Amino acid sequence: MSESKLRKRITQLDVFPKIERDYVDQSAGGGFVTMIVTFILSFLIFSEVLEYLNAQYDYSVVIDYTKNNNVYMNIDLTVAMECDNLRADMYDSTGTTTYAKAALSFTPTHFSVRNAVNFNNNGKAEIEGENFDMDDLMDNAEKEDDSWSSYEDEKSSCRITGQIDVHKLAGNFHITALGHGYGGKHTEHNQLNFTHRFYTFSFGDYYPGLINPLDDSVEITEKHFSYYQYFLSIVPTIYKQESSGRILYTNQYSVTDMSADVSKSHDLPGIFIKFDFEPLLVKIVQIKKSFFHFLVRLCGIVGGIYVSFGNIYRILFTIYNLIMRKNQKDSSSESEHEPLVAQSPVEH
Amino acid sequence: MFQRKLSNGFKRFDAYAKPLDDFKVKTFAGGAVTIISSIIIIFLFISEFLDYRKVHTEPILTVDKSRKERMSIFMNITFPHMPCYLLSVDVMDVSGEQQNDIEHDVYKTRLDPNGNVIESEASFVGESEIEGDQDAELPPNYCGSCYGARRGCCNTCDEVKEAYAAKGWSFNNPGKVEQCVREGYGDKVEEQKNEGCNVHGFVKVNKVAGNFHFAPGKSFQQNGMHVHDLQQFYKSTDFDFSHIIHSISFGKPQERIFNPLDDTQKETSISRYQFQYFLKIVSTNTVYLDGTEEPSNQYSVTEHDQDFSIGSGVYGLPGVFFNYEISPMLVTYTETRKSFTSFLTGVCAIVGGVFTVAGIIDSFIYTAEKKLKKKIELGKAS
Repeated sequence: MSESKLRKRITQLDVFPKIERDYVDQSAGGGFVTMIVTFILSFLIFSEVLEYLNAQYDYSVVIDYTKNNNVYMNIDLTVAMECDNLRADMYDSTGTTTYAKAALSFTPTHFSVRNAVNFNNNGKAEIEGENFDMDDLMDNAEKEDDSWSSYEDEKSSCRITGQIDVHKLAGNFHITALGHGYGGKHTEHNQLNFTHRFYTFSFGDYYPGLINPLDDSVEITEKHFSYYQYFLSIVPTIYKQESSGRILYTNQYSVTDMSADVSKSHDLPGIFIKFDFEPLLVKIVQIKKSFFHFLVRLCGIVGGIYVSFGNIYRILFTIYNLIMRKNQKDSSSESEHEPLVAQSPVEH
Repeated sequence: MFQRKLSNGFKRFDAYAKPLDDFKVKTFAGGAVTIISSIIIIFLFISEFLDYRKVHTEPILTVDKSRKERMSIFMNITFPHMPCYLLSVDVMDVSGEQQNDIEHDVYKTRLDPNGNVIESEASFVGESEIEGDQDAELPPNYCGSCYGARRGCCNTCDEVKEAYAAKGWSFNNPGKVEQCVREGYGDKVEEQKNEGCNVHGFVKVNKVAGNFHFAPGKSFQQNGMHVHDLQQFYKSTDFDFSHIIHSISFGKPQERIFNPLDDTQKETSISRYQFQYFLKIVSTNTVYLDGTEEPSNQYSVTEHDQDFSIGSGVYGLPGVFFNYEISPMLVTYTETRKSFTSFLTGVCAIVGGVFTVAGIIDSFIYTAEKKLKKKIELGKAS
């Protein structure tokens, strides 16, 4: 009893009163328009879904607000000289010079340029272009480095690996030969060769999978007195994925470099890496698109298209009818005219 | 027959089935609402269409991770009181040494005191002095003296000058050097004394901090120092480094890139005067609608100038210096346009939305009108 009453109440609330088929005029033209609309709608919905699924990145630059005074400098490179003849030092603008050899491990190894990239002067190699993928980046960051290969044979080269704790200040890290620049036993000139290959060079926590501009680059020289100078500008960077909530604090850097033959000048042979931290912080956020917003857009599309095509069709139909009526009046051949009501077949 | 069947088939799909004519009511208010809403729709459609055709540019700032890039420095500078033979162009790296692997295509144009073009010649970076006429007939086995600057033969005025430069001597008396007199060197210097010089062209350098400068006299490296032979310059006080920068850019000119130094004019009447420009270069990449990329560079500039006259107490090289540094940031301008589908969606939303709202208003008017009429009929209207 009460149930049927409720039903009645609800029925009264219907704002979508339907007209029975008998009282409407279905025409072939209308059917045709419906099919077109269905086609367009499915196309638009498809493209909207694609856009929803596509990742979108928001780049912003703010002043560096992080307060970590020390960052790690992750070094892994090979120099084509014997370890006994090399030394590594770090100098920063607090005025401290550190004998960095203690913090790093010097391993005799075999020089390999496998997988390395030798940038020639016109070589433009984009390492991380337009279409980088945040998922890959996040996954890579967690990957372990397993490409640590050591060769048992000829070990005339030296692989320098390790982490140095550096102040977040301008500094200069350099690898020189003993007796050339700093004291120590004098290294024979014919043993000097600063051909080198970077495996990785980064700042901040060590993420083996992140690619930095110096990674896998190689500089080859035949000369004994070569001088390589790198200028690094380090920009603290935060990668953030809104959907999974993963945040990655790291550093990116841009590098310019120069090299010279210093056999005739006062400069020292060696590899000099001069770095400075930028006061800016780059924030790259993978935006999470709200499903709700997507739904609203979808409703807008479906509703809008359905209604506007209906209106256009109705306008065209009205115009068509007007013209037809005029023609009929002109020709005054009323016999040909049948009222629309009679034309519509009643189907069930 | 078939047509009829097809038409019947289509009929079943009609989602826009119209109520039969007999059940339709057309009112004046409805017509008026239709006209007004049509006007609104046309207006909104036009603005939506204009927005769709508009190209939006979005700048993104990222870290420049490129390696070993090269950049071209395009320049066009006029020195009204510096003759071409005295002016040298040098490109140096950050440690102050001449850059060795540069490509360049720089032309010096001699200008008369009124600024008219006399003659144009290709120039070499680091080179300044005029070339002598080397087509003079020399006797066989000729071996000109190097005047003690080096052993061996110096057969042309240029060779003598080079030998002097290598030794670190200044070459200030060409009248006493036989080779130069024969080539008419002194006359040429005299002839060009009041001329100006325009330097234009490009230099392609490695993208690393450095400087390029316009200074008097031939430059050479001596004991690891970069020095200029200033003897010729100090001979006269007529020379000065007033200059007009027509353009300086670090990449092909682009519509979006504004070069702050273009059309800069600097005047001085002091001959020993130094102008310095400190430039910070920011890599700029433009991605056009069709996906083509055009890398270029923008820069910001700070100026400084200094008087080195005798008695000012400071010493330095007169000239015009451009010191540049490379910024680690990369600006990417991406041109975007609304997609056609979003345009279509927008149009549909406008048309559908306006018509629906108009329909509601119309039905409201219709109902109100009807109720009012009823009341009037019943004589209840006051």
